[in-house]
Amino acid sequence: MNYPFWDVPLLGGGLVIALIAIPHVFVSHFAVGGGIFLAWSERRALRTKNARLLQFLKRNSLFFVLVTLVFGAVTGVGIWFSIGLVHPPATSTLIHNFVFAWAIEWVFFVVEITAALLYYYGWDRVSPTVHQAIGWSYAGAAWASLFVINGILTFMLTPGRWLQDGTFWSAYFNPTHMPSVVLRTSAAFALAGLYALFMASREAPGRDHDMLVRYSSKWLFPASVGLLLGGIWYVSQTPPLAREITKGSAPAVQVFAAMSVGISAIIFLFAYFIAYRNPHSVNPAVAVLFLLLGLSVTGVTEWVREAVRKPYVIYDYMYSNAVLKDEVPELRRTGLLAVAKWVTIRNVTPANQLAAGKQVFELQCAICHTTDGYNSLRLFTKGWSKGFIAQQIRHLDELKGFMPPFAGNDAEREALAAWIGQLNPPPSQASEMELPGGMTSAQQAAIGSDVFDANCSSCHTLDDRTAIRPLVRGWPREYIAKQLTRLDELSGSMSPFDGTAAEREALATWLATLNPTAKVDTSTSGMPALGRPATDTSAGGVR
Amino acid sequence: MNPVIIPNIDPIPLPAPVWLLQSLLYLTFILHIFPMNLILGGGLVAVALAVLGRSPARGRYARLARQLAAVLPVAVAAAVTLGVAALLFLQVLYGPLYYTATVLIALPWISVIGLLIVGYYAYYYFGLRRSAGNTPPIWAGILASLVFLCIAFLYANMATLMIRPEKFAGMHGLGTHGILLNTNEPMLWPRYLHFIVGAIAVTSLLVMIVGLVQRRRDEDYGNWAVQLGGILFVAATVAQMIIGVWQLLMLRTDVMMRFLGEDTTAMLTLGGAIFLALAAIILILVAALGRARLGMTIAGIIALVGTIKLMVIVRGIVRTGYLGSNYVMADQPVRAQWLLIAIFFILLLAGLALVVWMLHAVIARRGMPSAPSQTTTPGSATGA
Repeated sequence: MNYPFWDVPLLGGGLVIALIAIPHVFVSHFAVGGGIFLAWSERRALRTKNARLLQFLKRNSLFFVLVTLVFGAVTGVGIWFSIGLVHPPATSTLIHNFVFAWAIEWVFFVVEITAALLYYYGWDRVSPTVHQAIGWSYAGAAWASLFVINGILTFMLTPGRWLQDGTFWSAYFNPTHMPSVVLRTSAAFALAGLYALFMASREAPGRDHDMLVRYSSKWLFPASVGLLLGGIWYVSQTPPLAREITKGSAPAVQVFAAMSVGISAIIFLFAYFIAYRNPHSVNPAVAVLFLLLGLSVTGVTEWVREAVRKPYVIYDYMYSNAVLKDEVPELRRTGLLAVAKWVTIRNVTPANQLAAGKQVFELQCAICHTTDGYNSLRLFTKGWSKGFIAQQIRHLDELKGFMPPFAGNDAEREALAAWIGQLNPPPSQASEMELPGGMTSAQQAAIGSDVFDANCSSCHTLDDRTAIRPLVRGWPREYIAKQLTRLDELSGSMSPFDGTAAEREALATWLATLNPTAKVDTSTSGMPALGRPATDTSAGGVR
Repeated sequence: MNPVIIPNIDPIPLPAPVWLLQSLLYLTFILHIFPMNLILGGGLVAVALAVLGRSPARGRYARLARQLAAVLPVAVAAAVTLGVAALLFLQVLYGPLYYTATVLIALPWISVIGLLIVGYYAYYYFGLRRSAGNTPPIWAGILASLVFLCIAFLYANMATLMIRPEKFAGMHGLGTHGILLNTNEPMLWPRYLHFIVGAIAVTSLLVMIVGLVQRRRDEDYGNWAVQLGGILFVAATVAQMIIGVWQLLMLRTDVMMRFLGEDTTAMLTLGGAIFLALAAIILILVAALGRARLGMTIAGIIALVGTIKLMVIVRGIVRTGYLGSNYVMADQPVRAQWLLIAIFFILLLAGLALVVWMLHAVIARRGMPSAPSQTTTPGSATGA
């Protein structure tokens, strides 16, 4: 709304961030854990006079530098680039709150980069004591940068008291900060172990190979405990809606959350039963497989972390589509297009409705949805009637808890519905037009079934939890038709019927067929309570 | 004519006074510029030296190419590290302009990341491997140089676009896929060329430093490198002055006139930069052709550092001039996080102290037996 929108065909902006961020998270956690691994292992090798371990560390430090300093550092910058392009308002909010936290992280980054280079160049150039000091400087700076950046990341899900007082300290030391430190530190240990396993697997078969594989695998054991306890702690601090999303209200997120736990468990079982107990069986192919599993678990976990934040990008402050939570009532009143900066239409008219709808889509939806690619709106709304689309938009946050409310006026909502509606051919010719007269009841009922699918089925099923059948039991057809004209009066959560009069009649006919054996009362006085059989018998049992 | 559209400033106040953030931006940008120049110019010069060095009769060209190539990966690390800080302060001060400009050129802009990864690895390969004739692998140097020329071009696009908000609405109207570039900008090409030639000038000073260091081991080679670097510097800086005039003429008239008398500060700043550049030319020429090489070279480097500092301020004056009343940084609300700022500066000092200690330890071979350290020369610090 405030910033122009970058339309990324097929992928969508979110996926652009993910494609850069997931490899970065994978490598950066390895960079943290790897630093501790190198420093600790060098210390151990010197104390135990384990020359083979020392040589192993020395041989592999160039690879470490090449992966962390180049790929890790540049993809980290890449996240900055991508979030600034995809979500400037959220990036700006973070920058304004945390610029000095980032500046502090940058200090650690400078130390980290210098120490990593000197650690590599410093083998045989400085004494072991000095070299270890450089190694520990690297490890300390790398972990400190994780600690600093972690507070900014967790702020987005749990801004805590910042919402009231707006101070840096409330924002930074937010409820999930410390649990996430435990989680990320554990993940760093685990990934360091996996990388070390890969390096060890490349050694020639024999005692050295087995010693190094077994040594590397041990790094995953404390990590497994930390991830389990940290995970429980972290989840306990997340907002209730975020927990619900992982528990089934959004199946894809639930599946990914389960994958995160499941793949992690497989990796730790591998570390113990294969790498630790049978180190000779770990060859490069096996190690690469588990590195890939490590990348997968990083990917799904980060995806879940992002997904549970919906409908917000900064919880309780800014929705995913950059609309501030506090702005919604005002935008509903004044309209979105009237205040948006980069639109060409200010008022919706019948002539510009579709073009206006597209601009509303870009402002409200396109941050998460593409038209045809990732999270495709065309596929999501296939088979939906315009009335159904309009109803969905009207109750977006109620029907789909992980979506923000529509923040615009009625005309803009209608324009958006019209634009979305034209993405697909109309679902049913009959349900979109006036019905011809002289139809039989059976023909009307068939059309009524389609009307139900289009207008009611997002909330109502025939039977079970939100069943419509018991609600209309005993209601005569004419009575149903009358109730359909005043749905919003029957229940505050229902919207008025959006279809034509003919569609309404057809729906009433079909609803009346749902309880064919109902006894019909002839009384016409008063309105029966929802779900309680009426006493009117005048027009029951239409087939 | 399109309206001027600039996003509203963020409702959250700035976490520090504008002067402080501005100072940090200038400081980190100036620090970023030196390694960044080496990346751009170093690759071009090292490739040229490596090509010349393929002939066995010109072994010293190959040697110099190797020594320059070894510096390049470290220069990239330094440029990226220091550039991150500059980008941070740029975003907080100029967010509405920076984000908008980059969104309009989003696809080319995000490609900087992929290009940087390719160029960075190519420089590692260039710096660590040896081809026939004991030169660095030329193809890797050419690849990296092309990549960094592209990156410089994209940065020049972004930097010129973000100070031209009057272009935003028109470009946005052309499409939202972010595939545009700001190539119809009069100041783009002279600015880009100014950077490339400036990068060669800065690199030639590094060549001189390598020569001075190597002179202790091999006097002929060292003197040759000092001379070569000096001549290259003088040629590049003279060319830079001509391009600078072109760049000045390509500025919007009202901004140009600031440097030609309408604004005393602007005129003195540019004049000071030109004066110091001329002084650098004379000092380096004396260093290259005369005998007092070390002192003159150091004096020349100091003059050039002064030039670059002043040119960064000139750049700021150009930016302010173009933006005019469209974007006034001082309008932003401030709620300073003083405790955090203090922690930042304390950690910065501690971090720098640690960096200096580590660098010194490796250069001085701290803790190693004394025999090797007696034969060590400061040349080891330049990756020679």
